Amino acid sequence: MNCKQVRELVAGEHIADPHRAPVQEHVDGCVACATWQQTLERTDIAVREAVRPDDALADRLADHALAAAPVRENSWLDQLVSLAWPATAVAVTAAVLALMLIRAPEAPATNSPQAPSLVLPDVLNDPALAIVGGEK
Amino acid sequence: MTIADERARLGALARDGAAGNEQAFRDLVRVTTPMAYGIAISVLGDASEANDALQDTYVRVWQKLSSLRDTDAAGAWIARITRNVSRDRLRGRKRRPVSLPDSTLQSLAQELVAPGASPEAELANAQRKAALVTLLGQLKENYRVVLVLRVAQDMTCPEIADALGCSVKTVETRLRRARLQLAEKLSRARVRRGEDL
Repeated sequence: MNCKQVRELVAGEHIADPHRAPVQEHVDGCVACATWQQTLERTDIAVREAVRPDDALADRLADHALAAAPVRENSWLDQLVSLAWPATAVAVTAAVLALMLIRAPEAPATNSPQAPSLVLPDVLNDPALAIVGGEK
Repeated sequence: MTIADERARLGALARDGAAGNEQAFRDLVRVTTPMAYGIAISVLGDASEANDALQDTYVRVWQKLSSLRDTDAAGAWIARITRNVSRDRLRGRKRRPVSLPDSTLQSLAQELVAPGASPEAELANAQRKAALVTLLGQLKENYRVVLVLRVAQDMTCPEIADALGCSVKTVETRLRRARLQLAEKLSRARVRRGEDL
């Protein structure tokens, strides 16, 4: 294992069992990688300190939200809207189905036994359409 | 506590909050604030702006809680609102170049490798925090969000995946790359300072 491979593994969340011993062996014998691993661990700790919210933040946020929006959307209007949505969806679906049913007979149903049969004129055997004079 | 337990706990708080129970809402805020703060500061790179973004986030959460259908997904829902609010704020403000003075980065790198080795170069606590946040800001947003949630908020990879709506494998990959990139930046700073790795 070279330094790059070892660092890739060390930076990961878990080192798989077969890699653990070789990685440890490499780190024990490589000052650069040992330093690198230490830096990584200290960086994690420093990041934790740097981006930790202060303890009172959650209480301040809750106070602010409750004060800023005392009238919740969970009012009668909100409940009406939440009920209206499914009702609207059902109404729209019913309207679409009704339209489809109304329009259905207008469409030519060629395979239907009730559909008017389409009779083509027999142009080849029709004497009225015979070519007079025949071929030249 | 398993992810399912955590989801159920947040779900119960969200349902009670949606019914108008203010104490349940307060508890929901308390439980989710570390995660939301981690996301906000990762996106915005500034503690004060992250606080402002969270104020907007939780006002929105309180207003919209009753419209949340899958209450067991309340954590992921709050994470999504936080990310959207933070990104909106980021778009709304004038883009400031994220830069860190070389000397600060070098001092930071030195401290992280050998703490206390050179007290005269040691950064003040606030300065170190600001330097680290700026340094994090140089990573891709996807990387730093995952890193902050894992390292600073102690969330597990499956919890982060659940909150961000991506796979555990993706979270692990981003986490590894974030750490590698941070270590690389610090190593380069030390090399510029004239130290061998």
